[in-house]
Amino acid sequence: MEIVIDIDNSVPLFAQPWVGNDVTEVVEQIKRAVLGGKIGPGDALPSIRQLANDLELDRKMVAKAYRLLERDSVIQTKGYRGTFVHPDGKANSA
Amino acid sequence: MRGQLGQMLFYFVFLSQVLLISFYFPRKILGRVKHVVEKYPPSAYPRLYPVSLDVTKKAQRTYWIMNLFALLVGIVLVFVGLWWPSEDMLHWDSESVLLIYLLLQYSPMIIAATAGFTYFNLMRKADSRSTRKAELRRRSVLDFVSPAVLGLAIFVYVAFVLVIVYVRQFEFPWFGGYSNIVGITVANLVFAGVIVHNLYGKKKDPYQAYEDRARQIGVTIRGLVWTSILATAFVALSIGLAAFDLRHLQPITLSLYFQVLAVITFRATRIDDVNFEVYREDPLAT
Repeated sequence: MEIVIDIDNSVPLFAQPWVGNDVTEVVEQIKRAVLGGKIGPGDALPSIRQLANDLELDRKMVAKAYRLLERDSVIQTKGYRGTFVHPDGKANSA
Repeated sequence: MRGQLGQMLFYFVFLSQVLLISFYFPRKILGRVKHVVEKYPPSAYPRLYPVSLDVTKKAQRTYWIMNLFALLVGIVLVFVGLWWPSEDMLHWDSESVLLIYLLLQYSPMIIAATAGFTYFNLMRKADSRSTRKAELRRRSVLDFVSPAVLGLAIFVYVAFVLVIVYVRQFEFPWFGGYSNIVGITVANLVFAGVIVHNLYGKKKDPYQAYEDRARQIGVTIRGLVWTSILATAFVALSIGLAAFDLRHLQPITLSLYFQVLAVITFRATRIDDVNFEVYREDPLAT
C-alpha cells in the first residue's frame, strides 16, 4: 500500500503550525488505507523517520499526523515496538 | 614470514588480492556500466543521465587508470618480495604494507562512491515530479536478514567479548587486551549506523523503484552483518595465531580477509533485475 504526497501542494509548517496540507494528506490517506482494508488491525506502520524521509517531509509533520490519528484511535503507539493500526481503526476511520 | 614456502604462499595469496580487487572486479564493474549505457541509452532513459555521457566516460577512464596503477604497484610488490626476500614485506611490517596497499586498491572505489553521491544529487535536482511516494509498511532489519544470521552476529560478538575478558586475566605479553573489544565494538557501531541509515534514511536515487530499494537495502544489510561476523572472527583468529606463536601466518589471513570483504562489496554492485523503466522520461509510454 502506497501513500502519495504532492509536495508542491504543501503549506509550510510555519504558516499553519497546527496542521498543514501535508499533515491532512497523510492523515486522510492512512485513514483511507485502513477503511479500504489495505492495512488491517495490528499491521505495523512505518516509523516517523522512515515515512518522513520517504515522502521528503519534515518529521514534525509526520509526527503531527500520527498524533492526530492516534487521537482518533485509528492507530496506536506501543512504545519502542512502533506504531500499529488500532483494533477499532476501521470503524474510527469513517 | 617463516621459510621460503611460507613466503611463496603469502605472495600467491597477495597476488590473488592484487588481481581480484584491482583488475577482476573493476573490469566487471565497468562491464556492467557499459551494458547499462548500451541497453538503456540516454535518448530513451534520460533520467538516468543527469550529466552528459562524455563526463561519465571520462570518470570510467579515470577509475580504470587508478585501478591499473594499483595493479601495477601490487605486481611490483610481488616481484620485490620474491626477488629480494625478507622476513616482512619491503623489510618493514607486512600487515602495515597490506593495509596501506588495500587503501590504494580501494581508493578508486571510494572516489567512485563519492562521485555517486554527486550524481544522485544531480538526479534529484533534475527531478521535476512534485509527488513523492512511500510504502505504508515498516522496514525492519529482520525483513532483510534471517533471525539466525543476526543471532549468529550477536552471539559471535558476545562470545568474543567474554573470551577477551577471560584471557585478559592472564596478562599474556602477546595479548592486546580490551583494545580488541573497543575496535570490534566501534566497527559494529559503524555498521549499525549504516544499517539504520539504509533502513530509514532518504533514498539517494529519487527514481528508484520500491522493490529495487528493498533489494539494495537487503544486500547492504546482509553484507554488513556478515562483515561484522567476519571481522570478529578475523580478530579472534589473529589472537589465536599470536597465542600459538603463528604470527607469521597473519599476513596471509589478513590478505584473505581483505579478499572476502572485496567479494561482499562487489556483490552490492549487482544490477540484475533492476527496474530501469523508472528512468524513462515518461514511464507510462512503455
